[in-house]
Amino acid sequence: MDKEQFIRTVAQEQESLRRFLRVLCGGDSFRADDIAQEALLKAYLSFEKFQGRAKFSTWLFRIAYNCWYDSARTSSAREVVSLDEVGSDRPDDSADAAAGFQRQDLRLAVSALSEAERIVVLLFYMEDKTVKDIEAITGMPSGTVRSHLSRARKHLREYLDRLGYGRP
Amino acid sequence: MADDKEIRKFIKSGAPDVGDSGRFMKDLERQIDLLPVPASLAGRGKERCGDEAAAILAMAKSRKLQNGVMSAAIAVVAVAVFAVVFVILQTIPHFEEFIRTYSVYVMSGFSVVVVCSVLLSLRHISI
Repeated sequence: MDKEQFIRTVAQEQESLRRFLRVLCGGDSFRADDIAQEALLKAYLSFEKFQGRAKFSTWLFRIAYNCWYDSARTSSAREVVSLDEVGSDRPDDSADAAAGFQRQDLRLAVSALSEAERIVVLLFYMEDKTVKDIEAITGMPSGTVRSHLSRARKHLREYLDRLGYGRP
Repeated sequence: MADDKEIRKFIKSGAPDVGDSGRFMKDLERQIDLLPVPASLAGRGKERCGDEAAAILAMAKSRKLQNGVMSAAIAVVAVAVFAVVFVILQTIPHFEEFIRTYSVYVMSGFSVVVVCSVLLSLRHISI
């Protein structure tokens, strides 16, 4: 792969990556795009580390996940970083946050999950990643991924049933 | 109770819209242009490896051919020498008796001649 091919491939993957990061960042598109850009530049500079054993998109997601994780742990002053506050019903101060989600239901639903469950659910249902992909992205063993997925499904089902989702 | 399909539909329908991909990619390309191109994306590494591998294969093929020709030449020489000896054996009676009496020495000498020929020919092969 050369530089132009890298850019073309990244152009195909960036939307999915940014969407995932945007949800993790509680709808803050500026922060999500910052992290996405950081991750893609890291991927560009360390391309020799991509050995081709996993899919390219999985490798990009792994870098992006690590960048988000580092950012979330070091930036404790920001409101959106506080994962508990993501779960609150307070109006978000970020001008972008309301538009960040098509539906506030989703935001509230995923915010009720634990951090690990949230990440697994977003990768599995929103980005259509397999358990093996999620294992490679997050570093969690596949048994742990399945366990989080199972618990998250249970919580989401209860939430959707309360909303009356899917009922005619 | 909501099933897996409904959960997926709910999450996908509520996912944020990430438009303005053009602006994002433009920014990213601008930043990438400021950075040095890594060797793994320069294309030089693979090309050079490819050229070197091709050169090594060509040399190996050439050596193999040379060795094959040499071996064939030695075999022909050995057969020719043997044929000459055989003819002498048939035509000169005393010689035939001499060969029969000293057959072991004759065969050993013949083998030494063949081995020496081969070893001498190897000296001329250079890498």
